[in-house]
Amino acid sequence: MFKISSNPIDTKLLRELTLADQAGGFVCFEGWVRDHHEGKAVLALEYEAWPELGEKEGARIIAEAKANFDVVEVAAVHRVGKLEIGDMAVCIAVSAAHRAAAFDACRYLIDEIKRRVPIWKKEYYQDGSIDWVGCKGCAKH
Amino acid sequence: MAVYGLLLAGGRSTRMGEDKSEMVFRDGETQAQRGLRLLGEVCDQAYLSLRAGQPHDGQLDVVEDAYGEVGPLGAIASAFSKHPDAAWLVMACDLPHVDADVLEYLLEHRDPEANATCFSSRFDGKVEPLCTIYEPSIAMRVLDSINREQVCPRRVLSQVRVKTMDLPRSEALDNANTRGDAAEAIGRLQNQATEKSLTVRYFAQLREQVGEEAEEVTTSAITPAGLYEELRGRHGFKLKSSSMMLAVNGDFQEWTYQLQAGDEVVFIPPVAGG
Repeated sequence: MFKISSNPIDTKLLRELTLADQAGGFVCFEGWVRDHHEGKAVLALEYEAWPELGEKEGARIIAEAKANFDVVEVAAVHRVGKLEIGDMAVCIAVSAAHRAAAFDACRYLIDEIKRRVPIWKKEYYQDGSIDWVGCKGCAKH
Repeated sequence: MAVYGLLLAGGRSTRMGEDKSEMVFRDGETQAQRGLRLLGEVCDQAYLSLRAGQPHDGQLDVVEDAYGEVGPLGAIASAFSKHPDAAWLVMACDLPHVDADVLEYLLEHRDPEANATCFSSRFDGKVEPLCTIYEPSIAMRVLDSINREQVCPRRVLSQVRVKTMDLPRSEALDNANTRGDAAEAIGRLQNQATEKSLTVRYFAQLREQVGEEAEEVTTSAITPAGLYEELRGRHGFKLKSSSMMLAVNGDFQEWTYQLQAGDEVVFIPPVAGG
């Protein structure tokens, strides 16, 4: 499951979605809003998404993770809208029979989500400036 | 005064992913062959500008760039150090729409009293520095700019006296930097351009710049790359197509895709989830 939502992320629900008797390990990555970007103090930020293509691409990335790593369940949510420092922007939950696959899959998921899912970030800085932030590897899709 | 041609073929073609001077757009000639032939037809002599040590066919007249990674200004300075008293018609190798007519027009309207004679861009009205006649009087200024590490040829031209003209054909200097640009150029050279209406949806900074979430567009662009160039001129977009992904009709698509009437096109600004 990959969802884009404007509501606060329910990490407990994501964990529950990955519970399974054959799972022996669980890895979760949370992405938080940080107070700085490339040396500039950040006050808040705003995520914008194209939800239809975003959820379609997110589902593809999860299918790839399930095909390439020996995992049991994957659930991920990306939040959109205006967020404050410390808010959770993304959460990825992975269960697997053994820990190595859970760690590897989680890393793959966050890297690919950042690179491929049409979500944009607008940062509001302390000095009054505002900027749309771009990921360096993004056009290599 | 002699006018020599200089074809710039020392770039690294990183956005295209293959050497632009070796690409073939028309008549079975590579862009290097075609450019040298055209410059040879209208100038006293044509030279190929290459990076130092770049391999080439030994038959050609070559000006090696003595300034390393400076770019076109280094190539121009190297040409002036070879023939300081000649004017140089400098042309990029990624201009598939240039024909003898464009170069003849430039030479006919040349003003040797100015420091340069050039065309203005159809997209933003600024000077097009890479199909321009540089007079010997600009050579010192070129060197000075390199020494100051100001290596933008447009900037140099903005600081001197230039004669600027509108293009004789609007598409004449549309360049091909990416595979999408190349597909657009080949389609247009084969007269495949037809007018069609489609929808463009905007997100993030593009939406803010346009002030709308979507617009209906009538265009004769063949590919999304051609459409983006058109809209970039109209709306003043700063992003280059090479920094973006593309979607057509709700899913990712290649920039070389052939647009159809009724398509919904989305240019995807650099993404930044996570």
